[in-house]
Amino acid sequence: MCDDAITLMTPLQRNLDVFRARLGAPANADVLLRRFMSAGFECAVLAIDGMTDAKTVAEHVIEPCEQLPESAGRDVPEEERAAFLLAHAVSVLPAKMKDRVDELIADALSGQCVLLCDGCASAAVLDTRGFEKRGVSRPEAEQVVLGPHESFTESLRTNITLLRRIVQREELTTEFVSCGGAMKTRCALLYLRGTADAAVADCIRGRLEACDYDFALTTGEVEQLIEEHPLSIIPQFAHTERPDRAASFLAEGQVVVLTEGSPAALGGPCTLWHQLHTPDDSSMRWQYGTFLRVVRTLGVLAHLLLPGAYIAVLRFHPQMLSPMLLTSVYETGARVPIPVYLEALLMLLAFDLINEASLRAPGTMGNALGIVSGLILGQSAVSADIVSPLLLIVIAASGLGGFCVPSYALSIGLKLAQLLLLTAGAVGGLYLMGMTCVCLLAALCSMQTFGVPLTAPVAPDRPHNRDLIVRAPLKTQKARAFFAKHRL
Amino acid sequence: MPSTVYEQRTRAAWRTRACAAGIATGAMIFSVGAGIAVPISLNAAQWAAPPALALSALIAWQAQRAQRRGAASRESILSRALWIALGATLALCAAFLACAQISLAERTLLPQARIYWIAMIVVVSAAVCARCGMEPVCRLCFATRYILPALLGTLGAKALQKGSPFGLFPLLGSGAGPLLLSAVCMLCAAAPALLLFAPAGGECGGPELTPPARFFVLRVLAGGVAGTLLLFSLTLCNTYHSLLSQDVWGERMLVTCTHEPRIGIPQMALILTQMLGLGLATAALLCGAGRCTLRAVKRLWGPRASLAAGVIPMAIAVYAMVSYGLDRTLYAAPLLAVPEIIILLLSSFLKPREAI
Repeated sequence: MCDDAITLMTPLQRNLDVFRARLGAPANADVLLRRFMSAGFECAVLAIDGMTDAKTVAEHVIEPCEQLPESAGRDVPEEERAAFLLAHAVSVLPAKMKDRVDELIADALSGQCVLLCDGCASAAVLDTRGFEKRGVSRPEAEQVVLGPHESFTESLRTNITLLRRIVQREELTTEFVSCGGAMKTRCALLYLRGTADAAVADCIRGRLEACDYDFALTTGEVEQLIEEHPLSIIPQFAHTERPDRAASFLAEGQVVVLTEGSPAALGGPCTLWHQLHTPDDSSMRWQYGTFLRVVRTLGVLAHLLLPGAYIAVLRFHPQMLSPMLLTSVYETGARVPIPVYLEALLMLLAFDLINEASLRAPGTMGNALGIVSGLILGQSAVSADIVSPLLLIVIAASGLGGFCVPSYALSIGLKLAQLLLLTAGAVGGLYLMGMTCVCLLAALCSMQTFGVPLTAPVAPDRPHNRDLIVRAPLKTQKARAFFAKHRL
Repeated sequence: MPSTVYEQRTRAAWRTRACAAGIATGAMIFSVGAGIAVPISLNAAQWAAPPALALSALIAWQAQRAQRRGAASRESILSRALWIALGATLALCAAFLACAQISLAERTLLPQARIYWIAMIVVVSAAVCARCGMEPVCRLCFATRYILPALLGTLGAKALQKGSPFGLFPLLGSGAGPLLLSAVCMLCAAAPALLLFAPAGGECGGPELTPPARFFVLRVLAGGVAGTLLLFSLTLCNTYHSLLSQDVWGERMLVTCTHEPRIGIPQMALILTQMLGLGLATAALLCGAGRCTLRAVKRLWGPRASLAAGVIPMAIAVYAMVSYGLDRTLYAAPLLAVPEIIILLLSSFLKPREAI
């Protein structure tokens, strides 16, 4: 059977039959098979329409091969015909020789072209990729005031180039790994040799290779397949869509994973602090960076604790409020027909609804939708006595705090924790909220990514620069991250 | 020869463990002091703490020696019995701290809730924390090593603003006899330092990497001193007469000024900080109890079952104490000094292969 072949055979016709059978040609209109004569023997080029640059194939592969005189290949042994063409006619870089059918098909599907020769059991794979791709644009989710304004794209090669342009070091190593079962996704593993821990790179590579999930198409899916704690609500990799941030990961000793088709990078091992810092913190002077971090930390705390504390105080500890404030709260609350817990839950869900709708709404409609729905819903709900105005302020302040979280994945995790703390506050007041916080923090302390505790370098103690909440001047930050192989 | 990185990680792991022991000792000194020493010696209760501090330092010092010779100990019946006794002592300490939490919560944060409901919250939260493992709980204690004392100090100072200056120099309180009695009763407050005897695991490394004795002693003393200072601020805040009239354990733990008409935000924050300290200490002791039990009967049970072996006795003890009355069972706390001193003595004088 032709389609059972594992390696190429010498007759060209037989090899072409194998490729036709595997790729479903001629029914599959995307498969391009072009036969031509070169140096007195028959050759063929296999490519996928749209994925490969037809002009490059024509000008740098077929045309030079056809121009070779018959006499040129007379003395060339049959087994070396493909290598001969590669050396004397083809002007495409990079190129390599392969003989396994599976690999050749995978290469063709990725946009490269395969050059086959009659009598030769190996083929030349030529990088002639030329598919349509989006240009480099501004980052959507990681806006900064200072610093570069370019983001990753869906093209793996472009993303690697963007990174290489920043990290011009001979130690920067790129490894390609296929991840997934039926539909393999091409991933790139980037790290600085001698800086990143080789064991971490080996571990990530091993996990990527071991993935047998059929359709791991995006960075997010790849992350879920290689993370250690699937039940955790906290992400275990640092996400970024910014090449400059990914470059800083590399410089710190992290391993960066890029995925074909995803405009984002993963950095591992990662600690909680990586997910709370932004590039602006370092771009600005240390006083400003520190101030921004303090504001962000307060925002995170408000996001997590404010709704739960509001309900706990109203239900269990009203004595904490001054009599005037308490009277005002009860007066407005008396007109609301639903319990305060349900009221808060509804408001939080409404907030998330507006957030989700404005995120999914096309283009400029999103902003308008957010403002209009926020104003109308909030005003109407207060006027109709469905929610109390104080609760509206609490939920709005908490929501603003949530937007301070730089990592979108972390902000969703914190939202889940917020709901848990809200319920704890409604059931057992500030005491149960406190105990729930302790349990969540203990769970956080128990998490590790590639042997690195998520809460390090605070607990457990690890050597580090003064760059957690207080950001010391850059001149004093000389050491790399504690998980790097060489810290200085 | 261990690498620098390995050594740093080992020391960090031991540091977290010592911090947890320190926080637990401080929490126990405060709880037992407020529960037993305050009713006996009133405003001089803090002076009953130094013997307990000295004993906890001695335990920490002895624990370091025990960890150093850890590899030499064999699995004899005596050794196993000692591990079980140690586990039971730590579980009882956890139960006492849990009861302190229950009593404080009942008098302050949840006055309208049923006491069994509060007890359930306390036990379940301690068990959930302990489920995460000993290292994470110790890490959490380590992370809060400055936050808790800083909060307690700030909020205690706030509470002290309207305190009575007459409470500054109560050297003997109700007299020398009651002070001596309360000092003896408070010896049991050193029992949480036994946590340092619990088998080393995770990144703690082998016995040869155990840090020097002062490493443990200083950290345990730091926690104990924080507990003593909190006890001091308690007796400073409350006048002699107000202390005399407080007959419930939870009320006596309240660092407040009697002139305050209501529990305000700083007061509530102070109570919550006390609660968090007690909660962390309970969870750490529970983990220690589980680890000791696992060490004693590791051929029979896995880690989860050993955790249950720590949680179940604690839950039963808490249930019994709550049913019988927290203030009555509180007076059984000094009995904890008995196993504590026995373990200390046996660990000091037994041959290395028999000792824990």
